[in-house]
Amino acid sequence: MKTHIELTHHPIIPPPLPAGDREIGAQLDFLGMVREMEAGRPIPGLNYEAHEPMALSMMESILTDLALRHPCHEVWIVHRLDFVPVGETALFVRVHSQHRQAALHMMDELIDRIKKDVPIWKRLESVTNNTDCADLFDPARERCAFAIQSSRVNKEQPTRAVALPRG
Amino acid sequence: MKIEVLAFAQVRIDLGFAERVVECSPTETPRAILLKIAPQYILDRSVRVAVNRVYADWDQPLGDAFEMAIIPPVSGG
Repeated sequence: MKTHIELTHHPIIPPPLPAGDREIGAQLDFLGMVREMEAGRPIPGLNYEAHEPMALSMMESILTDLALRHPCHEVWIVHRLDFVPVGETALFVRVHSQHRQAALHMMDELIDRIKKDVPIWKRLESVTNNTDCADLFDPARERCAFAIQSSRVNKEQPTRAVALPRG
Repeated sequence: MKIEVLAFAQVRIDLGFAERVVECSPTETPRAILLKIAPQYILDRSVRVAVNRVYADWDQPLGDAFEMAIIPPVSGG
């Protein structure tokens, strides 16, 4: 199985659909995007951080494991880091397989495993306060931690770049 | 020997550092290292440890590991 695993600090633009491989009967694209409302309040986006070497090796390891049960032709995983504005893609996953069931199962289990085990964290950026932003690394535990300067949100606007090669 | 201790997300905030090099012996465990550098820190059961970038047991001796990462609950995607 071919894999393409990447952590990027730039906006994710999904590559064009491949042409020519007549053995591919199913293609799934998943785009996980940042929603505007978190815990009932608007946010400008989310900040992502990662243990990058471990995250990359863990995603490769997860794919090796899942490929035994769900053989696919190719899987792409691209996760964006740093500030991701509302409406933009934080996670892109593409799966190619001969039959739909392998692709559907691969996609479902892969995203579950990423969310459970891959060392990537998101932090909320709130717009409800002009001077501070509440940071929340772990929304499930409602563990609101500390304040940061809201100006950082503006300073860290990402440069526009294509993260994925075309073709 | 020396080991690099990495802290991420909420744990980084709680401990006040992102990385630190610590002198240790191969028989010491990640739990002992954490206790040595942050004696006041209360380790939540949801916090995992990775040794050489693989999830490990808090009570497993470090051996010749080069890195120990403290991993709070992840939230990617």
